[in-house]
Amino acid sequence: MATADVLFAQHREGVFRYLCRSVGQADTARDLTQEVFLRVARSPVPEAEPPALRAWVFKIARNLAINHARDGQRRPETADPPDRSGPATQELAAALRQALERLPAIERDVFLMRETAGLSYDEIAAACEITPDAVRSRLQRARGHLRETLGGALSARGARGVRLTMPR
Amino acid sequence: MTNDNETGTDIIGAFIDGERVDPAALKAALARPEGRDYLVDLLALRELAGDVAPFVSSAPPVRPLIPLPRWAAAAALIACIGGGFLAGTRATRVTPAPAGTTQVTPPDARVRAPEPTRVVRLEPGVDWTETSGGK
Repeated sequence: MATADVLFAQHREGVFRYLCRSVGQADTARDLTQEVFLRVARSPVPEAEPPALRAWVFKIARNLAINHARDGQRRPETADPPDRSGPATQELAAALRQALERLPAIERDVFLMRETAGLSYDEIAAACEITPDAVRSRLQRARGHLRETLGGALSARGARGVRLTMPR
Repeated sequence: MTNDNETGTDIIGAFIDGERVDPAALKAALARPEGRDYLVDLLALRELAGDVAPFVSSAPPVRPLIPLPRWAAAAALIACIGGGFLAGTRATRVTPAPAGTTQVTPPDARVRAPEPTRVVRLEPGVDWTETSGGK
């Protein structure tokens, strides 16, 4: 059975990336990530397979992100999450943040769980309490909206070179 | 396997997500220029979305506890007991009066009473009578 320590070691990066993009601010995402694993540590860890445990952790993260947004603590005017790339990409990252804010919450969560943390359709379905088919269609829709909003900037980034990676 | 009704973008999305897809449908989707553009855009989007600096905890690092050697623990214990004994001894010792204070003496030893200038003599039975009882 996985302990809270093991879950922290395995999922902290994914949870942080998801929260960074979800709340739009690295400091807040850091605090929320710590809060996620505090809750994990205080709760009895379910006896389940690793995918179900990952979904459970992300469900907690999603609930905290929703609470954070609902409490009006969201500060979109502040700095973006700490991207590791150059200024041109930072502009694109800011555009991504704005585009994500315009998405319906469920589409944003499905997209971010997939692309920042690498959750499978089944894991996202469990975390968001929807069906895997709904995950597929929401993901498709989110990608379409983001592609449309980011437009040429995304193509320009792609022109610099892409590689097939699986998000972790 | 995905069904044949899915659009090409569905197939491409599922493919880059590691899902099992119909190879014929994937080939068909990628045969179109817009399908290939879509694939490149999705990969760029994935790279962009996941490009976040690593998590660094804001909590102060927890310093691991170093076990104290036995001899050091014994030395600390002896020092504590010795220090406590000395402190107790000093606290209960009678301290002499500090220098610079004067010794207080009874007043009659310091000043002699003056000699009487008039002596009044009282005689029993004349100046007072003695009775028994409390009246």
